[in-house]
Amino acid sequence: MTGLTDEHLMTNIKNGDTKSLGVLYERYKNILFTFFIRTIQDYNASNDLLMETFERIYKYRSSYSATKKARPWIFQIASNLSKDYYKKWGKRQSIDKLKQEIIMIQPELPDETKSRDKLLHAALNKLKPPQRNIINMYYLLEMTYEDIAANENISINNARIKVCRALKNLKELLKDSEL
Amino acid sequence: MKEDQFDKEIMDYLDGVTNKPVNEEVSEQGEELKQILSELKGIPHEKVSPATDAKFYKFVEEKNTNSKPIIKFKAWWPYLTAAASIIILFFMLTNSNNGFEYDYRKLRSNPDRLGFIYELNKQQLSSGDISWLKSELKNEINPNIKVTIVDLLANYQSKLDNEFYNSLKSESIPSVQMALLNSLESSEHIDFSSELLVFNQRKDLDKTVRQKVKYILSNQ
Repeated sequence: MTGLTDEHLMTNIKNGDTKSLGVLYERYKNILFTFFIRTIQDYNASNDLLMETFERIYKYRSSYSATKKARPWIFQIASNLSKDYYKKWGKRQSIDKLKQEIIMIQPELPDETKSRDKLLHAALNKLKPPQRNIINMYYLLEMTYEDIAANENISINNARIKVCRALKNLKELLKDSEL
Repeated sequence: MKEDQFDKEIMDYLDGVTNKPVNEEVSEQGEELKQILSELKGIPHEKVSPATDAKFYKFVEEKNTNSKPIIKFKAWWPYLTAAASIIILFFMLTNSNNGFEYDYRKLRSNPDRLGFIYELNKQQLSSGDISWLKSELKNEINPNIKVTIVDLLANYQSKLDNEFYNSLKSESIPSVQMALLNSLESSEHIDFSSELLVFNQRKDLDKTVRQKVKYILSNQ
């Protein structure tokens, strides 16, 4: 079953096959968890959102169209959840000084890559949440501009510009932290 | 060149729509951004904790139970029950003296350790587990794990003593200090006022932490 395509798995899930949901979970859990933790920067909430993503996949399985690609459909659910999370908690977090002191948990890395990756993490964390969301959708989830635009409720051209501005800001923040 | 046009040309370059931008500045910025993107893609993914995996598979199991008809009795059912009992007995015999600490020590990454401690909220901890967590709190350096340990231990107030709260004196991370103070606030049997007065003299205290100390002192 692990060799099945995402679309095949989703069709099985639509028919009530929970084993296929397990295969889909194993396939996407780490990338989605990484997306959440790099976007919302909260370990416990990221775990919750990952769970909620798969609960929603199951709950709304009948709305999945077998003629469409499953990956963007799954990522759309995840990015909507992270956006909703920020609407709900983002403001409170930005004024919660103590929360900012809780450092991001980062994967164990070899020493030589640690410092550069730390700088990248630090720069990403300094970006405003909407820009962080867009960058993570672009490079990590590799979502198309069409999907990013749909998620952000903007035009495709605007989505491209927003990705570019977020990357430029990230570059500036990276320069600052290197000084 | 207008900024929007400039950004569009950069994205054309990043997305491979154009091979080499004509504008030198676009080319330079595009190259830098390309480098950053490739570095971002090189960062390893985070690993989901076993606790979340367990939660997911519990969810799947629940869905199975709800959607499937009740299993009819089959001839092999007693054999299966006997085999399961033997496996459980074997597991109990081999793990009976290890407690949660044994499983915790096997975890390598901070997210896994944090998830494990968090899941202990659903368990009943023994005195041995509490002693282990107290010493873990002293040795741990990750603030998230420390805060989670303190929050967990706060559920066992009757088993916490002044020695546990003494860790506040050497603690320098404000979030951990706050967790300890919250726990102390809910304790009914510990008198820590004199220690708090001394603690409040520390010059490096965060404003919010100091306010919390004052609040506790004024309510004691």
